[in-house]
Amino acid sequence: MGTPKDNTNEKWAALAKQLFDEPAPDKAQPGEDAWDEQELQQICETARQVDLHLHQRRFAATRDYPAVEAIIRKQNRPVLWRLNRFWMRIAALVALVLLLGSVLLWTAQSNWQTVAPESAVTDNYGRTRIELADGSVVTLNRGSRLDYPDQFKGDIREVSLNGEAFFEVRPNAAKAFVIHAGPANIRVVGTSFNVNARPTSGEVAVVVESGKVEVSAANRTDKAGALMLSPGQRGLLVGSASVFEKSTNIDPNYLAWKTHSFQFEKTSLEEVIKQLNKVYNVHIVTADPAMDQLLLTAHFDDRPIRFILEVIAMTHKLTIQQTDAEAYLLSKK
Amino acid sequence: MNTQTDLELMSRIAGNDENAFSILFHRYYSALCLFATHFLQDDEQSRELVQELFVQLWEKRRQIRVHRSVKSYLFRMVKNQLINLANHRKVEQRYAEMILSENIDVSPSQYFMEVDLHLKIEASINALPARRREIFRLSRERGLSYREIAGQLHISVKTVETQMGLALRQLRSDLKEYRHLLIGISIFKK
Repeated sequence: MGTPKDNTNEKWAALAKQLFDEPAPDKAQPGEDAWDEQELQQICETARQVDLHLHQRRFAATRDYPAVEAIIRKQNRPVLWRLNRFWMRIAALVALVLLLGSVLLWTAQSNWQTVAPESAVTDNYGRTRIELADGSVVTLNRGSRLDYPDQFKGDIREVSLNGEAFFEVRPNAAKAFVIHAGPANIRVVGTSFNVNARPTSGEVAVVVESGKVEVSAANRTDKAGALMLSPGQRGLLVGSASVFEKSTNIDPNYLAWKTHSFQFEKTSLEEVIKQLNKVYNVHIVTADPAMDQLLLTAHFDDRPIRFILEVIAMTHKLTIQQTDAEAYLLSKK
Repeated sequence: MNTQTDLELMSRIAGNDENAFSILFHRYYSALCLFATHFLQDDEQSRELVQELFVQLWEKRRQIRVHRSVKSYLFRMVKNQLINLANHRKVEQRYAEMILSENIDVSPSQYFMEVDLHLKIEASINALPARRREIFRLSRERGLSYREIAGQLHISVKTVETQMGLALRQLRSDLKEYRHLLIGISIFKK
């Protein structure tokens, strides 16, 4: 490296003055020509790092950590399962979304009376991962509950769901997998799927990503009442109807609760907020009903709610006001 | 450099490992504070912001998934929080404008240094002769001008100039072996 041989103290003093004196001298870099450019850059970088070091000493981690530690100790809660990355990558062979109405009947028909069913319940903080006896895996959305046996006895695997979940069913042609979700039964021979059964909407919707799923109303036992769904299709059971209606799924975000990925294509702010509220368990409101008709086109891949709100706010020149821990007010500037 | 280790820490944190959390905190706390205070111009507020961020990180440890750089993730969190504060007008007007008008350039390398380099720099500064070190610290830590230093220490500005030059030369020579860590660009305004 070409370090100049004849570095005089004056030369260093001039460079130091240029770098360090406040305010920086106006004179155009005295003697800069005398420095090898690479050498000069490295000196500047060294000076910058020294400054960085000294400035960081103002924020000593060892001094401030105890306060943070005290808070997290106090807030430690019992732990839920954590979704692993493998699980998140499963774009689902089959995904079923069931929006389930009113009453839940899972205690009614079951063949596991001889076995004490286990139950997994999520709290409001996240999703729960459950591994079933046959190796199938269920991811539960928040506020959801799955009842399942320790062991699957007999020639059928049965579980009951209240809320929303995503299933990865271990294939077993000899032992069908059946989910009882309130007024609906979902039958899968072996694949993956997502189930949501919330007792508020009065309907069950089943969306299939890939594979084949047979859905039927619980009050129909004849084969004619069953409907076969293919990828991209959506089955809907409304109220006390005895058959599912088949249609094409048009909601690209039906799995957002699990993936936190959203695709909005000229979606109204009203709809965007509805989905965000559900997935992030937040309460976003607009100051003016006219704002509900604003349109948003965006793609979010597992971003914090705050980030999404910032993007919306920037797009439409809105201000965000955090009115509570999980409550936000959007208003026009 | 630390990516692998950072990701390991994150996964241990997700498994409730407080020790891993503490390591991550100590590794990034001061750099994040410095980044925040660059925009807030308020050490206390910056401290609060970064501490709160780490508390949130702990609270949401099971939801957070960082795929590439934990470092970038943390700096982005600070940035979002800065925008948040600015929006709520909890930041002095002119800094709020700076935060909101410019896109804050999150370049962690401007604020974060490996622990080894910190130790080496500390040692090099301590190796300066006492008087030179004092002058150097007044300039770099306190941000005083040469004139102010001269006034405070009852010496001539010329002496300050000379001593600062010698300090720079000595530090450069001491830290030369760390050249490979340099990113090759200077952020000093000319």
